[in-house]
Amino acid sequence: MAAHLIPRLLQSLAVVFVVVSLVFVGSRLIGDPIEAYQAQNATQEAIDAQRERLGLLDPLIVQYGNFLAGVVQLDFGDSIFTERPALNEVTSRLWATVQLSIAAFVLIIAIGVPVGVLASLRRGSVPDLLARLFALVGQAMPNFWLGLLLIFLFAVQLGWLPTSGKGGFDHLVLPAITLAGFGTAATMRLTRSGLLEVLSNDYIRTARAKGLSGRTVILRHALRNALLGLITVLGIMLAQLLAGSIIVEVVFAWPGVGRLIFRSISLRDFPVIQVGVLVIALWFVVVNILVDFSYNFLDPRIRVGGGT
Amino acid sequence: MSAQRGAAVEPVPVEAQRRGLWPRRLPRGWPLLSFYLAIMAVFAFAGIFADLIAPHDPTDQNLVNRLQDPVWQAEGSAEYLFGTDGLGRDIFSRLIKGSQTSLLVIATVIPGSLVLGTGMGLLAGWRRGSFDSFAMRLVEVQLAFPALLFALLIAAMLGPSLRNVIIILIVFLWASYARLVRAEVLSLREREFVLAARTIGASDLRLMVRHLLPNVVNSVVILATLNVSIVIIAEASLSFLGAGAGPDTISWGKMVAEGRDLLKIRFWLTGVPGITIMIVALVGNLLGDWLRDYLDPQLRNLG
Amino acid sequence: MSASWQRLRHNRLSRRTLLRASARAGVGAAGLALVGCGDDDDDSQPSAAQAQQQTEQPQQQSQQQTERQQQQQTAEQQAQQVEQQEQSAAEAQAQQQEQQAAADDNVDYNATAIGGYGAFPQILDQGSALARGGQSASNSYHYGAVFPLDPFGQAVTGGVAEWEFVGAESLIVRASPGRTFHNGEPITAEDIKFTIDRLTGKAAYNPEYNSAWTGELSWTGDSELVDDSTLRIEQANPSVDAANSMAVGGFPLFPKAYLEEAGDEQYGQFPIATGPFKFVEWSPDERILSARHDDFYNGRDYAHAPRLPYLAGFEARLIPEIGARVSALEAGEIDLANSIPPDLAVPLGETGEFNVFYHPAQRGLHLKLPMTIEEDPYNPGQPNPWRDKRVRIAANLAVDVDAITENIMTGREDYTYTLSSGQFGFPSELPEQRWGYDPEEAKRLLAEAGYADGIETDLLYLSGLYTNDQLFMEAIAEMWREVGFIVNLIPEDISKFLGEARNKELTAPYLFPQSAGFTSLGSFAISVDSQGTYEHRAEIVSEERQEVDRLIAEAKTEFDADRRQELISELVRIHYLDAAWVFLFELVQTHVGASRLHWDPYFLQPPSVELWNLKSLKT
Repeated sequence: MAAHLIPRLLQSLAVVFVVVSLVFVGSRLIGDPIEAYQAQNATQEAIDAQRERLGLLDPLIVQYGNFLAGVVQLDFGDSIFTERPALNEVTSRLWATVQLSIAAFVLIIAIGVPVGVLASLRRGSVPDLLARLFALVGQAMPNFWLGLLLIFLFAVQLGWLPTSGKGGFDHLVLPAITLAGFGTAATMRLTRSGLLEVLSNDYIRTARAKGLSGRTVILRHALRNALLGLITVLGIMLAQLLAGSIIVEVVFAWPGVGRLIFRSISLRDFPVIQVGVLVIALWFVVVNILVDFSYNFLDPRIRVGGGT
Repeated sequence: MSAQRGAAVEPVPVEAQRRGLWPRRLPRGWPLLSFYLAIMAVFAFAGIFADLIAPHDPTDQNLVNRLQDPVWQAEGSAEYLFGTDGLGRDIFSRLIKGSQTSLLVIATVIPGSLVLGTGMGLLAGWRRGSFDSFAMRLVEVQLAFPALLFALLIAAMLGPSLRNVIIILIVFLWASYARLVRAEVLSLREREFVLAARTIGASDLRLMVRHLLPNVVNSVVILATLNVSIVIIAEASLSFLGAGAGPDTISWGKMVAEGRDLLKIRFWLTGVPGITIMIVALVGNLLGDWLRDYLDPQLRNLG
Repeated sequence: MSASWQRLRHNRLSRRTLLRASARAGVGAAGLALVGCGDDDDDSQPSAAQAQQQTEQPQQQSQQQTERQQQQQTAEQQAQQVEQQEQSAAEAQAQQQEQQAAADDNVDYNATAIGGYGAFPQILDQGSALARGGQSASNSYHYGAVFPLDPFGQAVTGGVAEWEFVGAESLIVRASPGRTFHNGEPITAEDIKFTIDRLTGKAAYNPEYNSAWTGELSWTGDSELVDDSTLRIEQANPSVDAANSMAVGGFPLFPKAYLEEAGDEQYGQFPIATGPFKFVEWSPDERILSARHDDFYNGRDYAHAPRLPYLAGFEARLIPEIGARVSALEAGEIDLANSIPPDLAVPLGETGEFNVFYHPAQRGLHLKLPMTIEEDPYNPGQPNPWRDKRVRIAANLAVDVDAITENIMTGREDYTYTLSSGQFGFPSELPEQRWGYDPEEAKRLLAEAGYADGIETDLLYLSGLYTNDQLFMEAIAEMWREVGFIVNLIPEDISKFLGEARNKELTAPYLFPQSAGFTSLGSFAISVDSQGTYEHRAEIVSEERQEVDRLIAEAKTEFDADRRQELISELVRIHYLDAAWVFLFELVQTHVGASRLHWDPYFLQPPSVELWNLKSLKT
């Protein structure tokens, strides 16, 4: 297994490297923050002195080299604005975002899969139609709008949940639902169509013909096979929830990484942008590797590393 | 925008018997289909002839007349069917004009990402080897790169404009086509008709265009239909983050984003464009579902 | 409301002078809400205040003090006027009750409040330019200036130090005994010296400190300690605003010992200063907890500001979305929602469950026109149309400021004429010559100037910086289009915009705020002077602009208040009548609070500076 793992890891590292390099160059193209955040009569010498100190006067390639050298030593530089290590700025907000992503992911699985299964078993029934409608509506709503509507309904009108901010478990509910909205709908549809497809396969018919009960067939054979198709999609979803939470973080005043990067782009706080994107890319890669191995676990016939 | 990839990798059975896109007789479920198509036709019509059918000039401001109620409210009037916005502009006319923007975005992003992604996928699946790994790593980079952050970088660099929105969405969507097409080509390339064409010495280009492409068209079209809703919603999300089209462009996404502060007291400011987005996205999805059921008879014959 | 509104809008009094006078007389925000609506100024007689300022006064005292006395006298007269106005109003009774309610014996001194803000500072060090990064709301309530301010924004004695001008050569600052920092350490002359050194990049511990205040302190030269409590600061560039510059709200005074030990980074996380509130703790992007500084040097009976706060504690919460902020207020999670658009705030106030607070934001918004750039950026080789005064006048005549303020904004905005009415040196007759709104005349002028086919131009603004900015900028763009400008409205990214403005790379008109505060000469040097930091690049400076530049320089060192007032009046007059900008209005911020909260504007400062004046009534 290690033999497959190592090339996979190397490939993944290459992906992370490319992503981070793109961000490095991309963020340098939008101009540095030094001119913007100066006293009104700061002299050009004072401005240049600061650029010098931050290494922003070096040629791009030198800056890039310094950056890579820093990365190797796990030194990502200091935030230009807080003058604290950029890594700390990101990690101090990481847990909030991971919490939100995982909560949303749990919702996606806990709602999307069972409802999808039910809908596929009762194809054409009222529950199926309702589930499909819900799925379609969930996929057809901008999530900032959904979030504001949820706040208005559940926090202000009904008073069941807090409007925004981070706190106890109850603070997590509305942002997690908002973040999960799209994914739940997609998962529901995928489970339904995936299961329908599997149920139509010959071996299921065979199993049924052999007299296995409907429930056993579904649970032991059909669902497991349908899950295999679903798992890549769920993996990508989990991987992208982390980056996709910016809007939810803004709407619900959730102090997470997404908002930090959002603001850092607006402020041109390069080191923070870089670490933030690095963390997101790493998360993506790790989740993807886990997905590959869960394939292996669920279906030993598929070998890790054996193509996409 | 996190999970939108969901639709992209929806498994389309390659082994299924396929039908042509153009039926010889009315397909099953045609009443529903014509309903969907009628909605899309209204949307397209409004987009194309926006300037002719809008009752008011959508940019015409009237500060005294701002935030008028829509017709169904006590103080509303039929003159402004959906009321007026914060600058006294007619929301109905802006909605019509906004469909033009949405149409433009769809008409550029969907073909753009489709051509780019399908081309990459075809080549990667057919050639295999180093180009394949390169293309797949590129796909992975695209997936690992936070799309919204990329959008923000572009907007910071070039300023907000519709052109940038289109570029961002193409970059964001092409990978889903590439993955899908590659997976299909990988299984097609071992099939008899492809092997036969190869043995008689067909060129790579000919093989890809004449033999492989027609066989992936169905799934690509299904994906494209499903992407219509993603494009419309993504445009709204970009507007929310200030990376959408500029102030002189009228779009549904911007209408929702701009009206959201007054959500509580003037629901229709977001409700009217928001529900329009939902309807078009919904019909786009339903069309995609219908197409899949139709083009994939195995599924259709179930139950 | 509407009947009284109609009646009161005909009051011929400047809202701004009223505001000040009422602050002096202790009239609450509720009173202002009634008197302050509607247009004003444009046809008013020179107010008593301005007439009074013209009269002779003995000059031998410190000029600063003279000004203050003059203004105080007039304030009292105005206060009487205010009272007369209010007596005549049918709402006088209700107002008295309001005032009664707001009287101090109903105040709950143990109350705390939670305020929702749309933006947060990155670091809590108000001295640092980095704290101003982004669209951050400040934590200036942690900071107390060296000198307090009177309602006219003039530095007064009674703070942590006293001052004395030694001609134009130096300023003597004497630390008052018994004043302490938040950590209990006494404030010494050494701390004041350290503060000035740090803010001018001369502090030994870190000469590279990125100070936000070098502009305000550009008058300073070397400073030396005369004795333990006395500091002498050279005036390298003599300025009449020298003392005022250290009285600006939020001007930070640092404890030398603590800061040198903690260092800049740590100080940015845990500030210790002298302000009415002391920092307790914070989570970046989430909340800032503060407590009343019980040893604050000025009690609640002190005549000027800031004073000992009414609230025992305050928590600032970051809630970026306006909708979520209002929802949090309605759900009772916060007590005060800052910066709420009037469209949302007014209906909330009408429910009776919330109070709406209107605070002048001290910013005279205007469009800077690229009149000093030689070539038309759209047609290289052609002369820049904005150099033609007729084009600039047309650009002013095209904009219906009243329609914008009354419909989109609060309707309480004062006009700006470079200065706003009531500011020191405001030429009282200028409102009679206001450009006003006349699109036909604008078209005629454009045609006369040879631009009958229109003028193509970008129009830049920072999106989301001010309440409803996108709305009023779209309105202005449309108004310009109606007279023949071909406008491409562009919302700018803040970092990019500020960088380009400083580098003088901008060639299009752009929205900018002129500080409507008191250190007018300092802000003139930044944004009226043709060489100012945020003006367009000066390739060709007209005679009028040269004259304005000269007058600014002259006024800056004119220690004779009357003479200085004349100079400022003259330069404002020239600048305005030259239509150097498109003059818009002075922004008013709208905040909504729970009904138990009362918050009167004291002087014209950003509200976070005036947090000490936020009261919570007993329920």
